[in-house]
Amino acid sequence: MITPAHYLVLSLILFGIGTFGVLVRRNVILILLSLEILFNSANLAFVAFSKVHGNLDGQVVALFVMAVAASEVTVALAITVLLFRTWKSIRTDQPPMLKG
Amino acid sequence: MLETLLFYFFALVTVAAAIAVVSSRSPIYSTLSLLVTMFAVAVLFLLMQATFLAVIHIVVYAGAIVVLFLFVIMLLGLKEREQVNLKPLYLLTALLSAVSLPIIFGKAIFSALSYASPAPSAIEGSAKAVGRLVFGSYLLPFELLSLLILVAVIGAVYLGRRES
Repeated sequence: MITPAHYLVLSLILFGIGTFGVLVRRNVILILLSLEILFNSANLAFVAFSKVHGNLDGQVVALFVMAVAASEVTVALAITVLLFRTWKSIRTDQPPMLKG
Repeated sequence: MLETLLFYFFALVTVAAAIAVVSSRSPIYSTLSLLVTMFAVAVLFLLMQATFLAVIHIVVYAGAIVVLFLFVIMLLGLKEREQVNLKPLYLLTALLSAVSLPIIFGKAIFSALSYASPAPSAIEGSAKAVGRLVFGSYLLPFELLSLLILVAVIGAVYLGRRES
């Protein structure tokens, strides 16, 4: 019998994996990808809670989270492209030494 | 029975693909693993009878966001493999926080409500039902969201312009 608790545990596991990815990765795009995993875990939790309470409010909020995540990724990737144009590198651990 | 099997299978696929996203050495492999994660989460939405949300999840995430990531990766020409040269202390700290945060949140979540019993009423997450809510009591957030998307598009176009 699959209860909403199962989905919440899965959401927590995904949250842990996403957090690990954001902390460990050194490439800006890969950090954004781990952020997407965090968004997914939040959406899973919202839909699980909507099932717990028996109404659709959680699913509506999950829809809004998806739209916000899409616009955030748009702006973040535009910033990344701009970073690459200026620094020629998108790594977060090496200082961008271009002009010496 | 079928629901149990499907849930465990797709939960496993989600976790495995998410681990592949955070530990892969090539950005393209990570993005494609994210695609697999999105599809698996969409199936999990279907298992919770959130049919409209599952389709929107695939369309928005797998159809737009992952494609955007692939475009940018190919535009920047990131073929380099990520060297894993982290100090082990840093890795340990990241692992510790990635394990302890879900435990803290889990304690807070599971002490508030009891989730042992199945859902009281079968909700239908159809487009009609969700749409009734979005255009009903959630109309103001919906309109503000469209404003947010407009601002994001203007910002992205402005940031990506050519200096001429």
